[in-house]
Amino acid sequence: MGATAITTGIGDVTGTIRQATILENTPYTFGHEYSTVTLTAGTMPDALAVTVTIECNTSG
Amino acid sequence: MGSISSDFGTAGNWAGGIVPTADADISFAASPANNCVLDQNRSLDDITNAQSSYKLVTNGKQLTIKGTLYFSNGAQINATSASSEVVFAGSVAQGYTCRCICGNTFQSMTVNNTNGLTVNDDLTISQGLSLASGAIAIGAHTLTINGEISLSAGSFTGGVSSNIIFGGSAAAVIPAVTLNNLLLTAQAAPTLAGDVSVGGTLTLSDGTLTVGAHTLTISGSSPVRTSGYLNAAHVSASVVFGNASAITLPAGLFTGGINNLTLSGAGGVTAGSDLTVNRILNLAASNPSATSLQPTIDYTNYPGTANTDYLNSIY
Repeated sequence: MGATAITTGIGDVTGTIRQATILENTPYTFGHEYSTVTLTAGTMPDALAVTVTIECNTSG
Repeated sequence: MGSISSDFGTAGNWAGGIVPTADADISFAASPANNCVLDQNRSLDDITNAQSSYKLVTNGKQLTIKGTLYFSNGAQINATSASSEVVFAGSVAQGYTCRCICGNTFQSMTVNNTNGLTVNDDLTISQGLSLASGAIAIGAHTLTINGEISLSAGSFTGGVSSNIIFGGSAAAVIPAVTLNNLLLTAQAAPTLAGDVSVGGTLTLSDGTLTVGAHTLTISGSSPVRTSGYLNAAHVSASVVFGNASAITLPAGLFTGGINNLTLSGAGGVTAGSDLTVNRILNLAASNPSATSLQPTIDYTNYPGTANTDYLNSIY
């Protein structure tokens, strides 16, 4: 994802979503508009990647 | 009649012994003796020809047609010689109702008719296409453009059965149009000048299709790529996948990042290689394969703790 890229909509990405620009206290979306990660303190990482995989639904 | 020669400008070739004046109607005799070959740029109104033996030949000149082509029995215009140009400049809608273009090919063509031109067969433009005014209605045919497209106030009218092929390496712009198939061959490098929708297949055999500040919608089958690219890096570019069935993007389809990427079709999209979205990834349709999604986080060179606001799981 680009430095200021966002995710919107009801869908999801499966696979690896990588954010190469990380600023502290900034929420980044990873494959869904509500899947966000925020790093709050310290030296920011070079990159952040979230891998989303499909899992069998065992609930209910 | 062509009694003396094939020369348009020879008076003796015409009934009455007078060379037709500008914007005159002309008719071929029932059994002419020669082709009718332009000697200079000519502008005509209606053209009638009911035989196939002898043709109207542009001979590297410009033929402006302001009226109707009343062609039958295989009669044709031959506008295939180098530098030939056919200009459709009528004041009412123009078209042709027969296969009257020799080889289905014009060297160059201009449409300068606010009421438009309807093609009723596949058509190849070998050199330049000028869209001065009015629309070219492609219908259920294929328009092949091997040269430059210059766009003024003209346009294309496409449809679900309309196809465009770009060949050659000349600069070209594509006005807004809905197409079935869009194919780039050779070193073609067209740029969108309006929103373009491809409901069939986008094929990039070679060259680069640049989206520019517009929207390219792909809603048919998986794009096909040999060595061509799709450039959607413009800060106002958008690519929309509206496919109803699952598609897979070929590896290396995009050159650079994608400004805005929207997935609005129920079929979903599988990336064939890494994609970069620079601005908005709009997942307008549900993930067709997601029954439950589990995220794992990997962060590099970070001594702190990740604060996950909410990691979405779909059940």
